[in-house]
Amino acid sequence: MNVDDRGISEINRRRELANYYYDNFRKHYETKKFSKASEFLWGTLNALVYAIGLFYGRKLTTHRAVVHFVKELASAYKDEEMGGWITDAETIHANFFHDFMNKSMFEDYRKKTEKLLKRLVEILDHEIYAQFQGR
Amino acid sequence: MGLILERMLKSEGVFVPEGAVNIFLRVPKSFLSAPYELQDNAVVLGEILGVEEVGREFEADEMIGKEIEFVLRQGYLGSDDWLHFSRNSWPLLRDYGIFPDYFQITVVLKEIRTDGETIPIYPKRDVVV
Repeated sequence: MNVDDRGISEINRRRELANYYYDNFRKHYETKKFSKASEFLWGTLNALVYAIGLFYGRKLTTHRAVVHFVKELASAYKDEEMGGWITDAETIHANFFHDFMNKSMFEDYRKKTEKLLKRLVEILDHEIYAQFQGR
Repeated sequence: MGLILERMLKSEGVFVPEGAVNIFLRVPKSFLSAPYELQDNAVVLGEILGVEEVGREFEADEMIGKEIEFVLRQGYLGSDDWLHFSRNSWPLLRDYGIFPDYFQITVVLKEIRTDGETIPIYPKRDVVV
């Protein structure tokens, strides 16, 4: 789907927001503040998914909509791992509210969530590239 | 001359380049990969200027001036890239009992090797991150 200039500007803003959240995730992760790190990791995911959603004419404003959309992407890209990683990312999100993870548990979920984030960045970059090829 | 970087050793990366170990230093994209247009797996060569153990005395004299090799992994998000110690270089630190999260290292990054080409890093002056 073609996105107008306003949409592109919002996509770029969300991409920058994802970078900003990710830097904050690293800062809290390296000081072992896992609850706060969880918040920023989920925030990074949210910003990326919102940006991708705009290419599909969707404004993903709720947790449920974000999760559902990632599952749709996993299905569209025939990527089973992605469908599993979003459940792991939801557990990271829950850790922000409930702070129940020890280091080894956090590491397990963090690594899977990072794999999902990298995949989302690849999808977003692909959509941006396709958009400009089509202009 | 080169890029001087003082950083804590870190581990637990998710995307480790081939030929490297999962121990790395973070380097801002704006100081290395952006100006030199680097891609994943670029080899970066440098020299050790100092090693410190957090909260303790550490004798690092034997290591000063030793050459060290990194493999670049671009950060997929955020403002930093990851300089992973190459498998060849890591034993130099490991054998002195230098561990991630406990030691800080100062290096000067001098050269990039990529696609058969060698590119000097900031050959006109020292740039400090």
